[in-house]
Amino acid sequence: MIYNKPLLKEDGSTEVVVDPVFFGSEAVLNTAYLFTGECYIRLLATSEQGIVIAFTPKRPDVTIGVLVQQYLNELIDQQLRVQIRHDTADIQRVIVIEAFAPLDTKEG
Amino acid sequence: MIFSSVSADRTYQFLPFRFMRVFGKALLVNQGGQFLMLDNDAFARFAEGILGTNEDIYLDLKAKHFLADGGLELPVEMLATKYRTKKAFLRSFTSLHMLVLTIRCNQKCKYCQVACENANAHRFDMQADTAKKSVDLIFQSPSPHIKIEFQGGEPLLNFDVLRFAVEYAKELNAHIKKHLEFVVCTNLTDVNREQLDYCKEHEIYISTSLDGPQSLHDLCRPMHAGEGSHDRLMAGLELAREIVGADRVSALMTATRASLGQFPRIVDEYVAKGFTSIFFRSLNPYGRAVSGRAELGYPVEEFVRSYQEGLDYILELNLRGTWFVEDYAALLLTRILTPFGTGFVDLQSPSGAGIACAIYDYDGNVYVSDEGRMLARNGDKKFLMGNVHQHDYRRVFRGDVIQRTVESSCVECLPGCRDCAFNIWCGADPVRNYATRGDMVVHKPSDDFCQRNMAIIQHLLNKVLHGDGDIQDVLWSWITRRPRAKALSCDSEDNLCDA
Repeated sequence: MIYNKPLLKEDGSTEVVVDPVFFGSEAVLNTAYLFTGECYIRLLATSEQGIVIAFTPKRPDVTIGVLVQQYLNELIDQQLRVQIRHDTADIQRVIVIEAFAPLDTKEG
Repeated sequence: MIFSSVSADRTYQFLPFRFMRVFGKALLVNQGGQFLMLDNDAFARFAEGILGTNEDIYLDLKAKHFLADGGLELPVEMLATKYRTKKAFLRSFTSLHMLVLTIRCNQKCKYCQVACENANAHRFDMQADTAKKSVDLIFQSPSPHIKIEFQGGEPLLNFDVLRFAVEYAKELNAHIKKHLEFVVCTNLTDVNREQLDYCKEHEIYISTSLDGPQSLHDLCRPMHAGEGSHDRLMAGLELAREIVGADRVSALMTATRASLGQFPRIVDEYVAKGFTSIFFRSLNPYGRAVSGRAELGYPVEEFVRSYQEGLDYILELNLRGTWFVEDYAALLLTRILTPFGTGFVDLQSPSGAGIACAIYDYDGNVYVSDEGRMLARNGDKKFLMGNVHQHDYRRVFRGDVIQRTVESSCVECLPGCRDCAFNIWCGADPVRNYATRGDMVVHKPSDDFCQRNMAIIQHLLNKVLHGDGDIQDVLWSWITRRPRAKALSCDSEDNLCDA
């Protein structure tokens, strides 16, 4: 079953599905990490639905609906970060090599 | 992926940068530490690759090396130079060497990180032969700058060995010719003229502890027999200033639960006692500070609130004409607003533990940091690098301990830090992580250290971005360490102003 809205499950977790056309597993995982202070997070990759992410709040004062919305917004930023890192990886490598190269080598 | 389709048509290419949503905008920080705030709309257009080449934002992004639309050689060289400058602290290797002359102490501080012994327990004194071997090891450091800091306990209780270490270090340095400095960390409660005359003669700086007004100071820093220490400190402070000179005496405060909400009072005490700076230092998770957590500890949010209140109070003080610096803010502002890094051991990447500082315990054991020694005092020798009587320089400073510590403290690749926009200004503290969580790499979303630094950096950025001209002048006076009228302003010194 494909569902676009967060789905409350019987075990108390809330599931949301993200579309792998837009989001890669690295961004999904990076975002999940940021929310592990507030929630227990379970990631399930399913071929039809996309990536299923299940949130279970760690404390009763955590509002899961708000948190899921925050997750989805943050996911967009995380995907962009992955993209920027990917696009600039070679330049980044050259900068670090150049920065730590011995000065006599640079001058020679 | 969501952004991959836009890159093909871009007229420019990204240079490496990190970003964060803050103050309702997007903060971009690049490899060299330069930063730029963009409206979310402008950032979205930048990310989509559709910024027009004639837009002001485009030119800002190009000038600060967030994008390139021509050859890469120049921007890469510029960024590499800035990155090299930020990481200059790595070049010299270990320069701060702390000698624990004794762990005897005449005080019994509630938050003592070492769990000191009483003043008669002489078996906890460093012997002259250990001091000699320690100094021998210290002078093998490649660093052209050597600072030897005498710690305790109360190091003045073993003054003969302090004398020996100073004179032996000077003797060695007559041939080696490094830039050599000495500091003694003393509570000043039993200092005498003879000791201070010696400090003056050998240009030894004095670092003491002052937690605030008498009631606050005495609450946590009683003498060993239980009476208050504030009066004795004040007498020692006056004598030290008279003999050694006011500019050679500084103080540190430690914030306990009783200090929270009292930072303005603490600042007033520092000003009244003639100090021109303070370091708002939170309680460290070692020794008695851990066992006394119920009485002394506090949530990180409460410390941050007090820090912000204290910082704002200090800014007001400066605006009213009293030049006074908050040292942690000055350190972070130097990182944020200038191309330079700062060698603060607790906030470096990789951590300064071992590579910027090392501590030589009274028995000759060498640890990566003071905190590593404190853990050992409680039975955990995880951060023991070696012993001056048994091991040579290579074994101590190129062994597994220092390598593991470095590998675990590069924010450029730590989970939760790698993508953080603040990471070029921040650092890691693997010893603290291990002490609090049992692992040198910790879970960032629940890490107090991270939460505190994130909040403080944001507070400072807010001042930098939204403070008026007078506030900017004050902040720059802290960076340049010159009172406001003499300080360089951002507008007048483009060579320093990097933001």
